[in-house]
Amino acid sequence: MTATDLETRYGQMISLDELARYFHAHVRAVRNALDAQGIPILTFGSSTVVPLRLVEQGFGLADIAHDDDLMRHQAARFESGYRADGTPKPIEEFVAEVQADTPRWLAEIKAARERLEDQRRA
Amino acid sequence: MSGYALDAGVVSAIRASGLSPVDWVGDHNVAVSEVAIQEVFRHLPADDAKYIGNLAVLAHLAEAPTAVTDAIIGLARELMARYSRHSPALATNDALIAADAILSSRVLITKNTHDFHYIDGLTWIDANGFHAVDGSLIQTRGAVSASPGPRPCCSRLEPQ
Repeated sequence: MTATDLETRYGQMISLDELARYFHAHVRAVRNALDAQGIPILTFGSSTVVPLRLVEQGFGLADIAHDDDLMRHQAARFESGYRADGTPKPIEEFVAEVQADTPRWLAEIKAARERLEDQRRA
Repeated sequence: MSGYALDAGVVSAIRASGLSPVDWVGDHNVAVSEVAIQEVFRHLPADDAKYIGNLAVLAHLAEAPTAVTDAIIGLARELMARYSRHSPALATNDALIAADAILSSRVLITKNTHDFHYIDGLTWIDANGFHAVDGSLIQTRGAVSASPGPRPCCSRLEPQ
């Protein structure tokens, strides 16, 4: 069975080296973590790969990858809390931006509430 | 305690459940802060189904989102100073959301307990993994408060 056959059958593979770079960890540490999770490590010639799907499941990454609300909230939190140069915004600057942004959302919530009340009355 | 405050991730969870916030939480007294609102809507196009769904959730709340007052800013600043040696650091938005909940005597409902669990004076409910199958959140989950001392999930240092 070739590596391509394996991917066709078990899904995308990722090399141990790539995984180590992703986690900013030594290959040995990643290998130990994979062993602890019972994730099979496969060797083809000079390549050592693992099934990406099992890595995502084993380390609880699948839920995060599929929760785009969480990812969006995290991005919003970072953008609102830090300036473009990476320095944290003072609380006054943060609040000023919140107060500049929120009126349009508040207006939309108010309009949605009025539509809801109209529906209840109808 | 006098009611509940929703963190941003919880608004999304309620939207996904298809329930009203009152049914999902199990109480009529539910509020959300303007700080959480911006997390809810930012990066979502106005015609996105999630944007419209979030609006519908928030429209069900009896009260308009709570504004950031000087008192909230003052307490948030105090919390950030008190936990300046905490790791992970208390983010500005979390400090403001926590301060709002503390000053309004509301229980914060959050999926990010990691960000709040060490804040003295704050009471919260962990909404992780709650799917509203067997009842409302407050029927099935208890509210908890910070207890003194180190926690295994963070390097909490005592307030300065």
